[in-house]
Amino acid sequence: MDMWIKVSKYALILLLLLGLWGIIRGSGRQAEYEDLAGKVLDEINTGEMQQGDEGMLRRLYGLNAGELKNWTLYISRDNMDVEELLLLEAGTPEEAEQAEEAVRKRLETQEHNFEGYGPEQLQLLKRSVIRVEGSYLLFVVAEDPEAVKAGFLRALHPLVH
Amino acid sequence: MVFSSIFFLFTFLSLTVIIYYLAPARFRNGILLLSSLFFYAWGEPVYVFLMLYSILFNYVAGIDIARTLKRKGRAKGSLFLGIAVNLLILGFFKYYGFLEENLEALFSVDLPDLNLSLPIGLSFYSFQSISYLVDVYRGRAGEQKNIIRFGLYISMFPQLVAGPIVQYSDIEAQLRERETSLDKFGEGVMYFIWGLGKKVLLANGLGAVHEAVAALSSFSVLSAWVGVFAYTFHIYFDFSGYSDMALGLGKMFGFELKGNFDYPYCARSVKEFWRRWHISLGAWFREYVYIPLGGNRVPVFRHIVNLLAVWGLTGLWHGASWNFVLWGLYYGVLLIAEKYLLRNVTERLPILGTMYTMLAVMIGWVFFFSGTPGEAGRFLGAMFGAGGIPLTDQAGMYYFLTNAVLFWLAWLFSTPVFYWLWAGQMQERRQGLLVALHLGIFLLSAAYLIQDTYNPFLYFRF
Repeated sequence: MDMWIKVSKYALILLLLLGLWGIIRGSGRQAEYEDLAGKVLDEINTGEMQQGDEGMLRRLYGLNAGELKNWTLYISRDNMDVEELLLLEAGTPEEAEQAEEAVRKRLETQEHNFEGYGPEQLQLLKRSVIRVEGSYLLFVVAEDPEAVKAGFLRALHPLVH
Repeated sequence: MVFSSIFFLFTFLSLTVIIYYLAPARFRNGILLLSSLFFYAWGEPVYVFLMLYSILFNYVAGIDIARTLKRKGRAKGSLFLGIAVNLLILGFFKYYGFLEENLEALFSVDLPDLNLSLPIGLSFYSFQSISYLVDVYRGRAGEQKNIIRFGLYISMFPQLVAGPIVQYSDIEAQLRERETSLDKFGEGVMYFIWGLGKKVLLANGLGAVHEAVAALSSFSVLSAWVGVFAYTFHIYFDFSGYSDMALGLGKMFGFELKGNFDYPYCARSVKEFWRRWHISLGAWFREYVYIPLGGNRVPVFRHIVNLLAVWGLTGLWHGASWNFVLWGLYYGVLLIAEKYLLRNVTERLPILGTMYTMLAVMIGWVFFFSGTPGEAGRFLGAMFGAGGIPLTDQAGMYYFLTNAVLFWLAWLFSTPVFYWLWAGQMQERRQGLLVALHLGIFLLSAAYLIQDTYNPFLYFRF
């Protein structure tokens, strides 16, 4: 019995170490973009939004669609709403960081636009999420941006999210 | 799944209670264990396997420690290994990112970027696991040979995600046998509704005020104080409401869990505040860290070091970032000052003592809700008018005036006034009124939950 307990204990410790090692090894995995976009869009209601085109991507963020591997943009139909979603896959992590700068500028502009007369919109903008994971970037302004971020991370790191 | 949700109230809880009470007594632990795992898997479909692992490992480790107790050296080795595994799991999932960020900044190394999400309740059930192993080692409790009872201790849904942290020796007998009665069930329902009301009717509103103030692009002294006041009462009603719900749910299933809050905002010193706030966490650190370090039976310098270590760790337990460490150390310094400089004089000053404690606690919460120490510094600066910040502004007046009633209610409900009224008058003589009051709170809370989408819960993060 004592031996059985000891063997079980060390086997469980070994299992834990292997599991943690697996998580570390699996952290660099690249996700399929379609799968990622699907999981992100599952977490946000795009009913009141319209899909953005290349021109809109350039106008709002100053980003050139041709330099990105994949991208998805949704913005509110109504100018008085601020809900927005941008998901993109850049060529390299460095390019994703450059895109992050562009997104931060867009957010600043929006905050400036609604400052003083749109407290609800401003609150949504302040709660927005910008997240870069390797070559992927997520920007979301929504009622529950944390749920969208969770979907994004779950798709990229399925083992731990 | 959170307690303050329509699905929990009208589906999960109702079904669990019905099945629990329809089943013979010998199956009830199993039913609670299965429902607890379902409850956890609802929010953490992957991390439920980590919890199952934790149950299995600590079950085996507890038996191993008990079997080697006659050879003290070996038992100690088994205990340390058991604690190390629990700390490894906690450290990996909760502190890896923090460690990575700091090591990369200090030594210019490139560590893998894991971006792990924190498993809900990990901080709570890791501490419960350690409590079990230490209690078995110290002989305060026997090893649990029944894996269903042990699994229930680790995963019991009423206290799984936000405590209270139950020490194993306190609940060992109840896992074996516990009394259920209609009176106890009714008492549990009242606790639960009281907690639900605190969470939904007070905490959510206060949280929205704090969030709105935090989103302002500039502060006045007034708006900063409105923000910190709202947060101070938000976190109290949020967490103590959840604890009341946990206690109530425990009673509904026959368990007696210890209270986690005792009107902390009436304390006359920081020391007293921590005897009344998150009591189970303070008790855990006292029992398993502070006393093993020597407690207060050591020279003054060593005592100061012990206090700072315990409070630094208490801060770190709340979150993997420097602002939480600072928050913990802030309390360590205050407790040292109260003991060695003020000689606990504030405890003898009824109103002044409470005012001093509230001021100290509100300043502490700024470290707690700020993302970084720098952000906390800027907010504190605004509270005290640093850098020519105006005394009032339009936004500050707006949030102050439109929430004045809510603030008064929050303050009133953080004192024992209503408890005295309830215990002294209503409980004895006006049962009907008591039932009507709780039914009213429940219906109002349910109505808010259906209508309101803003229902966050602060302590899920820890």
